[in-house]
Amino acid sequence: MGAVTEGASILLIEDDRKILRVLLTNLEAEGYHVVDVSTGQRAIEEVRTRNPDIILLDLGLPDIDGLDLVPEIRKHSVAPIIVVSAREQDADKVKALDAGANDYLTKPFSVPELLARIRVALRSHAQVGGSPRTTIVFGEYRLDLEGRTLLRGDGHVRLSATEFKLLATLARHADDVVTTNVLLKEAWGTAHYGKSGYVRVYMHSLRQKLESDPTRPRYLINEAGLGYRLRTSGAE
Amino acid sequence: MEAAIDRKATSGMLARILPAVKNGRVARSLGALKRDLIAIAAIGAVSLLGLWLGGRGDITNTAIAFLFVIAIISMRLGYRPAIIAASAGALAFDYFFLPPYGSIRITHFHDMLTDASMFCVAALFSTLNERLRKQAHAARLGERRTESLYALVKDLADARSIDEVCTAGLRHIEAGAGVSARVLVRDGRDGMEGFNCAISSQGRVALEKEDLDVAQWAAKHLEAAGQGTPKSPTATDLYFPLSATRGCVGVLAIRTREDPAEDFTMEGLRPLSLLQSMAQQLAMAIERMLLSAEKRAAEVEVESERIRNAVLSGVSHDLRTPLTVITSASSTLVEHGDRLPVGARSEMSRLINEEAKRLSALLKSLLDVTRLQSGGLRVNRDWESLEEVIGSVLRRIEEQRILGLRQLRTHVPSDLPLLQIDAILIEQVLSNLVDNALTYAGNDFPVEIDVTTRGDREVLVSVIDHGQGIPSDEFAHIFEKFYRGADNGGPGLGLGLTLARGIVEAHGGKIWATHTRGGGLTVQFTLPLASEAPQMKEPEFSEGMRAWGR
Repeated sequence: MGAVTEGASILLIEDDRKILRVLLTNLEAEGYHVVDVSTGQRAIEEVRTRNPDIILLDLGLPDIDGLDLVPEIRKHSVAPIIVVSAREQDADKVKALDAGANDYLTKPFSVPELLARIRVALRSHAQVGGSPRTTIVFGEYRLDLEGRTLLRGDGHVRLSATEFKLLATLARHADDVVTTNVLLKEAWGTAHYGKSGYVRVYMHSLRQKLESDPTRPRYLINEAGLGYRLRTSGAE
Repeated sequence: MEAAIDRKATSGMLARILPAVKNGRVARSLGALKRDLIAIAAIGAVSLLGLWLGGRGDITNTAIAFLFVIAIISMRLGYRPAIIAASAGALAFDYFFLPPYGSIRITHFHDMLTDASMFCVAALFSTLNERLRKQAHAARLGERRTESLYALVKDLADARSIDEVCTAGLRHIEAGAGVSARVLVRDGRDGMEGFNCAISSQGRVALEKEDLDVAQWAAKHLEAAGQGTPKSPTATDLYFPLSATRGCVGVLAIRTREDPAEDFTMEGLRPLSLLQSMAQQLAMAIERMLLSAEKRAAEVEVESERIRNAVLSGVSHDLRTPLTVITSASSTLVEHGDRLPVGARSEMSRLINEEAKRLSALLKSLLDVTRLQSGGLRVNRDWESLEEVIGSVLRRIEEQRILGLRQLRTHVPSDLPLLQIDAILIEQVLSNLVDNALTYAGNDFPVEIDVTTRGDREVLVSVIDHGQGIPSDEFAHIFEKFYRGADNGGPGLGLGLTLARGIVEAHGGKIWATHTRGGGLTVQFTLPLASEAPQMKEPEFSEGMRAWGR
């Protein structure tokens, strides 16, 4: 575990006591400082007063719809939000991600998977700190957002304007799931809302350019029914 | 069977409301008066003509002229005008042409004979002519009746549901009898007694409350009821029970049409017997539909009973095995955890973990199939890239399984157009197929995913393994629910392929199994290509890309 994630504070929003118990044990064993709440009301108070480093949100809460909680949390905090949902809530997942959540886990999930997601989220967001990053490195690639260039080693990779916009959007949210809607909005504007075909066509050509085996992408990861993520860590 | 309806009685009742019969009579009597007058006028004209031409000198030719005109009247105007003409002719001949002229007295016997034979010949001629005409008319009616019945039976045979049977039957009945009619039947969906739906020739119509009592009575007593009958004579409709071999299958409600078709030409009681024949055919057709619906329901019942049993025996066993392991291993840890050697303790934990995962996978497939079967499977189509879907499948499977290099091979054309599919569901299909291939073909053989386009209509996806394969006669069965191969001790419930088929078919594709060349099983499925699919761009390669190739 890197220095970034050491002793980070986690806000755990979960109403099932048994799941809570298991997660608490594991997270504390990993050295995280965990605050747990079981209602949406308490969650908002905790976000305001303690400013946690990362938030784990179960979408099925008793008092407030988890979906409404995401924008509420975003008013007070930029910390990464990982939503946890049952399998039947696919549509809710997209809404939560559109509303500003960063990643998702589907129940039942394994603890190692959860820990890995937390680590990745903490690492990517720790660097955000003050000013946003302008250079994102993934594998042998180096994306310069200000210079609008993509380098592979020393070579220059030429991208079309749209391809660059897509890649830059993914890079700005490195390791987070970026929904198709967000990508459409960033690259084409809101007029093309719902036309996911555009995104697929350009992601295809991005994969052809960047991935050595486009059916086994290492960086441009597709999340079926949700969107894409640019994997900058854990791809090794 | 009891109480075949008294034909004469129903005919009487039907006659009361059949508009064509009443109107036809009136129309004919009006025409008849006119025809009689024409006949008399014709005789008058012949008499004047005869006088003018000096017919008194040549009474033989004059008599023939009278016979000629009467013959024409008989052919053109019918029997009654012909007889009237014959009588008038005999009188006129006597009065104008036989001496003493201007009187009906006849003085010579041979004159009387001439006049009488003229009348007799004319009457005989008209009678024969009338008989011929009646026969021709009967033949024409019979032909029409056969044609109508044939058309009805043909349409009834083509009908595929009770609704279709009734609308077809009613169309013919309305056209043949000039009435408007409905059929009241019992729709088999609920077990309640009595009629619960009404069908007109245009399809289902609202069931009128006042219908019900009378119709119910008619069905119960197998007697016509309603308008003009002892039972509810003031009703607007006549309710005529449709009885078949098993009793009453419905009630035909007949109503006088407000503007009966003018060209309705069936005469006398003919349409009544036609109507009855048609009603009989309709009753039999309805019964046929009821029987086949019952048969289908019984088959479904048997099938779902079989499935329920399979679920209970097979599934409960499959679910209980991992549960048993979890329960016993975890209770071991709870009871004796601190006394167990470290190795045994981690062994117990590993078992619990593995079996819990297995249980979770089993429950997931059960839930998926349940959702599929209950029609709750929602297909959220969008433009998706099959390459991405395959990518997700490979990622997931390679995360879960420890696979050798080159264990999974893929061939996806890079210019494959986007498809209108639900990516999550198709990912599940591919996961199931690849999982099966890896599980049953063994780890030593590669599994291939091959995608090709077939024309511009569809995409063919093949999941190919090089394992043992299965016998050809199992190909059709492996997609059945809970089906597991003869020597298959695999971990699943036999639902993966069922689910795959359900999903592929929901996308308008087909799925089937075949042999891999050289041994092994290949499962293939198709997905339709949309005509307006966004095309993949050829990526623009920069120099840097060319340098390292792809």
